[in-house]
Amino acid sequence: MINLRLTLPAMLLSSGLLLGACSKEHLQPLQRSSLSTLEYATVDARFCTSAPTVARQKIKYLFLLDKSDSNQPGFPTVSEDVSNTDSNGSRRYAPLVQFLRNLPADPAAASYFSMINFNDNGYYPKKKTFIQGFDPNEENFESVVVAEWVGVGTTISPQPLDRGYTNYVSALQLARNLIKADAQYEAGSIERPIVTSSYRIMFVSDGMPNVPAGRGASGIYTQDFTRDIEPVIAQTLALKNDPVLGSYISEISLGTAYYFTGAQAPEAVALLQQMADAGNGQFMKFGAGENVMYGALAPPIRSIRNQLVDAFAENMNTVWWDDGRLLLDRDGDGLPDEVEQRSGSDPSAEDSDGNGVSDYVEYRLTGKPCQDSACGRSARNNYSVCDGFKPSVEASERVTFPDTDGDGLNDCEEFLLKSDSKKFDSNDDFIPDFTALRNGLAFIPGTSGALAQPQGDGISSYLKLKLGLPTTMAASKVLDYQRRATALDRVTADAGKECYHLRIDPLAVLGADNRIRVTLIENARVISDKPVMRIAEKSFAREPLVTFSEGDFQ
Amino acid sequence: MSTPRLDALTIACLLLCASGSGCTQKPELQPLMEASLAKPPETMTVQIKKYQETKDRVFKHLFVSNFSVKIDQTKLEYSASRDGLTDLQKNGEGAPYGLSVGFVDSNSDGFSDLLMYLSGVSATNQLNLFCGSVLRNSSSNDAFTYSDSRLPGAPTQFLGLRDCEKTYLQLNPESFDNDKDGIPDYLELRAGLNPKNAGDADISIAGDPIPNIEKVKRNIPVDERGDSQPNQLFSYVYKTDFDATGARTFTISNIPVLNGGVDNFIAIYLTENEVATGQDYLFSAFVILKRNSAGGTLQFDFWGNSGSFTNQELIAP
Repeated sequence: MINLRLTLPAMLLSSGLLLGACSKEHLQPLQRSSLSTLEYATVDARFCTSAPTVARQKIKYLFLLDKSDSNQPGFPTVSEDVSNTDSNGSRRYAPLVQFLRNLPADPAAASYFSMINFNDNGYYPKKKTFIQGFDPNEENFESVVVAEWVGVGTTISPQPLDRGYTNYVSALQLARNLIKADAQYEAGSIERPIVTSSYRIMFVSDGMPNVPAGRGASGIYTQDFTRDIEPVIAQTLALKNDPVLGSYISEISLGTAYYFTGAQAPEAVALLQQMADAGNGQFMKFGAGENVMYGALAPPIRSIRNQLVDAFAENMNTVWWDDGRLLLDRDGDGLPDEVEQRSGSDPSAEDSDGNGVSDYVEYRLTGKPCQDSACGRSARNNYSVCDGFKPSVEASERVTFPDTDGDGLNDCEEFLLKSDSKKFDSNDDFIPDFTALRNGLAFIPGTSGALAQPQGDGISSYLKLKLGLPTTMAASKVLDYQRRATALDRVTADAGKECYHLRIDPLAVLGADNRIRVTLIENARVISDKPVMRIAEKSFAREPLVTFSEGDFQ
Repeated sequence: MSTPRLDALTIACLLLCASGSGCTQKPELQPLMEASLAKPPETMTVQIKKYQETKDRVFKHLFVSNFSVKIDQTKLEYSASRDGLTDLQKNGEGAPYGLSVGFVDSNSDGFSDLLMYLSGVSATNQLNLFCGSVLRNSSSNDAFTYSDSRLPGAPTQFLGLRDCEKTYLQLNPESFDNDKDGIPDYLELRAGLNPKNAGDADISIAGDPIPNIEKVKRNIPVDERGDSQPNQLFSYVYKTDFDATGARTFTISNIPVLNGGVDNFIAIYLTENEVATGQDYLFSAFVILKRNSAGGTLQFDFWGNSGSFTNQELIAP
């Protein structure tokens, strides 16, 4: 028989306590937050994906055409050579003229053209309308192409002297110099804002890069991809990373085309394919009877649809700290107030010592938010390694660095953390860098792990982020905390946009002035893989519903 | 002094509260959906029997999809061309791209309507694209080609990515899954995912615990939550049974069909991974449903055992 043998007062007390525990009011959370009680908000966001837009940039076409005598009638001199690939120029020049005429109307004069021929060496066409690099006038350029086609295109002995060689390297070097000169010219222009140029090189050839052997040697030397050609392509593409010219160049690509009659030469196909791969371009081949299609090399104007890839909601003023507690972080730097107070930094300033590196990043790097124990200016770490990142210094000696990718970590912080200052998502896992850092997830290029389950609780870190759980402890250990649920519904679609209704509920808040951030990540549906990020922030004002609309997203 | 009655009450309360129900749990109240009146669709079942892993390879993924049907705005829409664009889309938003209902590649230039629609290349701009004879095929054999008897002259239709399309997308034509995320490139395009991004298979755009790749298998939109009423109704159900020899039978049920199933195109992609090399291999097959297939079950033996790997037409017995 059960006899608990408790005294009546004890019994009443215990039963009263337990009964009391059944009503919600008395159920206190196990002090997740030491400062205030956990409340919950609901995030309700309505938004559409960005409209498909064509970015304003100059498109600069540079045609590199093989003009060696293998195109000519009378070739070959050796019987097994493939002869006469394009004796009247109709496979190279006619489609180029057609391409120019088919180009969509260009009222903004954003298309520019240039041309280089090559045989023994690379050289500019005889009739050259472009003075500095590229010609913005399509008709003028067309006349250059026609002159090449009708004139020297059909003569057996063109000038300069053509001994039948095909010097790829010389042509590519000339192209590199041309682009460099053009970018320097653009850098000197006073046009503001800067309009970047996208250079599209189209390299067309019918054979291998055979040139006369060097000094002292006789016979023919075939230019080697790795030794001779790749370095020139790399130098050309590297112009994009030039500290000065890079700002004026949005893209440089090298597309290649191989045209042939009869059997194709596998080594030429392989080489041109390698060149296109190295040049971020496309390779195409055209057999007998097919003309080179320039349009296929440079995709025409397009407006690629954007897709939603991910959406995150975060409370910028709460942090799951390393000890498994959800703590208030008033300044939103990622370091909770409690830790800031303990370590001498200012809980209401992101960067207490004003050295340009936030308290949290310094804490993660060095174990303390400031070098100086009182976070004074005098003994702060000035991180002189970051002097190249164009810091601005106020009169009060407060340093700020630009944040190129807008992910919440400035360029200096990203340099110190070894992440990519030009990508908001350095490791391409769609979790923005600052969000990853705040949640203890990998974000350095080449690292991953968001989909792993370090706690072995069956919930990946990525999903924990969505559920609002800490990534550093097993989900079962998080008590008295309501997990988030995310509900995304497609509402309508119009004019290439998809519209959504996103509801995230419940989202934990500590206090009335918590900033709630919704981050949307979009990506192009096809072709390019360049995610973009849009952010909206609102304060939680004790109204449980925090609503966002399209206009809130920046 | 204590009384047994009080003891019992205490214990009852103790049990009640300890179990947690009624104290902390919030009832899971689902809001009424806009499409709460979605009608259960007509469905059918496909069974693939006697599948055995090829030597030195392991089974990776199975995707089954009715290419004739697509969920759009919580409704099932018909796609006569089976190319991932519904008839409604082709007639509506597709107009500037010169798309015609019933054709996979309306202007026969080698660039499919789906690709032109997604990359926003207008009808006039498409004149600048060219797909040479060398690049009109599919090096990775991931496409379905069949002659469409519904069209005059029964032309050959091509459901997949031609080499020139892959070149245009800057993908390697030799590979059927360029980003190696498990979802074949063509299915990624159809689902609205990027075939060049390896990270988009295992995340969930909609933020629910169903990753995108699972939604592709279930044939529900990746950018909608999976637990909405229409999406629950339309989700394919996959089941695998093993027999004593280790052979598997895949049963894919609740495949929504339209028009009673007639002319619905069921595409099947099965992938294997070679353990030693990490290389993926594809087995693909399709079934064109006959009249009155709705409600029924079609059973086939795994086609890969007979030596044919891709583009195998399965004829309903």
